[in-house]
Amino acid sequence: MQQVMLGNEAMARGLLENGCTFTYAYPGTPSSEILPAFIKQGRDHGITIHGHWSVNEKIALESAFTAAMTGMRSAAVMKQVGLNVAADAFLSSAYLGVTGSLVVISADDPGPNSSQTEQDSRMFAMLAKVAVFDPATPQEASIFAGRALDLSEELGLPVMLRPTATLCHARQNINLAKITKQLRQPEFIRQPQRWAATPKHRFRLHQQLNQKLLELAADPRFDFATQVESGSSSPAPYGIIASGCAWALTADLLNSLPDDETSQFSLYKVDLPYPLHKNAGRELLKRHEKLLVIEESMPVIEYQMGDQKKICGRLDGTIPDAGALTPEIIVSALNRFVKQKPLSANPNSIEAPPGKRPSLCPGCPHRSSFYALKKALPKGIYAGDIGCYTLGINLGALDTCLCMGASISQAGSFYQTFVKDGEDSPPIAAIIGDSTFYHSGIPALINARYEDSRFVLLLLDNSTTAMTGNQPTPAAGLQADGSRGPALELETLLKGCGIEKITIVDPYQQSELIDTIKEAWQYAQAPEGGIAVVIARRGCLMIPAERNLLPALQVTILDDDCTGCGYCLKAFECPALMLKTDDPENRVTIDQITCVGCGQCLDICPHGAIKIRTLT
Amino acid sequence: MTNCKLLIAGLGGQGVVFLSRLISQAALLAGDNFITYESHGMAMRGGSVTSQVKIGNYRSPLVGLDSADMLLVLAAGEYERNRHFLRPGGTCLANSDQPLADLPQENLVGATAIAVNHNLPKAVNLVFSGWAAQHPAFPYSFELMQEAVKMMAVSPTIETANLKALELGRQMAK
Repeated sequence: MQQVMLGNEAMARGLLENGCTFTYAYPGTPSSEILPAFIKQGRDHGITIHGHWSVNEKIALESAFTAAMTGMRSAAVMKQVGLNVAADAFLSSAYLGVTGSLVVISADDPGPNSSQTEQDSRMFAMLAKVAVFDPATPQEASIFAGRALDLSEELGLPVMLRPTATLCHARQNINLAKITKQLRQPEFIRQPQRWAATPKHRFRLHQQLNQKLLELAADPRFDFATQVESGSSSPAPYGIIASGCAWALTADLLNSLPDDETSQFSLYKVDLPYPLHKNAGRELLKRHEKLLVIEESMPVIEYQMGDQKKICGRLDGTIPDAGALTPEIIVSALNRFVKQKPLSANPNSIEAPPGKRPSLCPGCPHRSSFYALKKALPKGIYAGDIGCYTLGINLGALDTCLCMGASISQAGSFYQTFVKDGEDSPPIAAIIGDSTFYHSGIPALINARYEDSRFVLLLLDNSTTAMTGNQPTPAAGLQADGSRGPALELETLLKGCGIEKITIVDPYQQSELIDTIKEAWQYAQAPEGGIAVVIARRGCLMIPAERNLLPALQVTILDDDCTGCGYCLKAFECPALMLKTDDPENRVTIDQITCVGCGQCLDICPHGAIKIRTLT
Repeated sequence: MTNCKLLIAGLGGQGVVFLSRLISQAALLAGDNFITYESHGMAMRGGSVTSQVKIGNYRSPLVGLDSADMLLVLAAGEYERNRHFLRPGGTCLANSDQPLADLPQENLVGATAIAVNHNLPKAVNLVFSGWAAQHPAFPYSFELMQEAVKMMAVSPTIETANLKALELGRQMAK
């Protein structure tokens, strides 16, 4: 039986088919669809599973680890930068190990498409001394999820499954195996010297971990010298070692070349890039004149190969050290590697004209909030954060974006920097969404309040995690499986962080929001003041129920009044506002298909050309 | 066994991803292997979006330059950015009510206007694919696309609307 599945859905399927009943995750592209698929497929098969959106990745990993401490099979799911947040738990868990299974799925984003960095989670696994699988296709990711669970239990260690975005968001026909009810019961065996190990015991645990990894690097199941998947099976002059999606790309490419070109190469596939099978590496160094290592996004296999003189890859510049791999990059790398007759495939990447940049959705409440922020504090420093609202940069209302939660620490530090220098602080605002605030804004806010920093915290509360597909936040009181749970009120939480000035405004009430932000900054500057929080509260329009609340206005632009100044396009950047085609005066019109009728643009035109349409 | 590499280009919100899913579903019904790739995340907020579909025994969903058998363009502005993926002799079909670059007129369709006129503004992708399915280079028949639409519909209302849009596209090809 086959089904069309996204790579992320296939991994969830693999977890369920192999007895994993606990999955904890924080959403992040490209990993976000794994947990919902886990919950849905588990429910469809009538088995009891536990799937939760944790508040951040560290908590997800700690939770999954604990389930695996009681003999259960569990998974912690995140994107690669989420692993940075979970690093503390991740590195420590490798020493302690598990009695059940713990699979850490960390999805990488070479490119990057939707991330701050192009980091390689396999490198992180190497740092943590955690074995890591690198699947090549959705089908293989489903199988590897099972292999990772089995290996974890066999070794008594956490194991990583590392997909990349190309796999997460690939769709394929997937072979389905049975999902069966799990009969395991949790059992906690007290072992304080292990579960609460002090530094003395940690040394011993570290030695045990090293021993297990040594044995794994000699395990015949991971001997990749025998795995010739493409190209020539009798030793060709040139060997290529690849893993994951980089292998898939190379295999497809070699298969597309004429036989006389393909036969120069033997392609070897590595399933477990760390710890790399020792003898396989040695054997291939003997077998081939030269070896090319193709992997994403960092030289993990390459670093572990001996004799660097015979190895080409990222370290010697044969493969570029940034950006996602494409068929063209592989062709030009192969040409550099072979240095003889160039291959017949096209090695030239093109400079495509820039695409249309992403922007906030039509009617997005964030747009109104940013517009008001600029009006209220025109000379301000806008410390931003991570979410849809990072797109505030398009509106000139966002100056920084470091990492999750940093808006608040940065706003505090901007203030301290100016004030410590004896200067008046310029207006400072931190802009953070509700989900990011729960994720890592709270400790930052406690810190900023403790330092007595002064700024306006504009909390964009759309009651969801919008960027990654509208996962619920703790304020919604909704669980990942749709059931009801306790709702945590944002205002109470803010008060608990020592905030005394909190105002809630509907961002669609623009003039009220502008006045509130101005007043908030006054408060922040007053000697007895502090951090002023403005909660701009209105639901995300990706949620259908919120769209039904729109006023559904018929908005138009009067041709006679539009001067073609372009202010609305630049300052408001709504996708529904567009230049009229072939208009010599560069006038703007409203695309009626795109417009959602929120009416938020009605007051922005300096010439009053945007009006509610009246029927004539 | 069909063997076809397609690239679908458009803007976020136009249903590029849905269209690639529809073709995948048709491939599953036809018993073909396939692998596809779609943009997610930040790129989906109204920006340029592409989906790649490889039908046949492929491992990677990525389509290289000069290698797509078919290029489907839902937003005319995205043609220029993606035309280099088309192999020599490949077919490009585009949604455009204006002439578009060097494309022959019979490879263009004004699907947006049709969808809007029939009060199905969100179904431009389906009107387009109903029309595209009549082209000899399109990997699957109109009837198979109909089956795929039925299988993917989440409600009877959506199924009816989507089938209607598909049929409107078919009529455009006459």
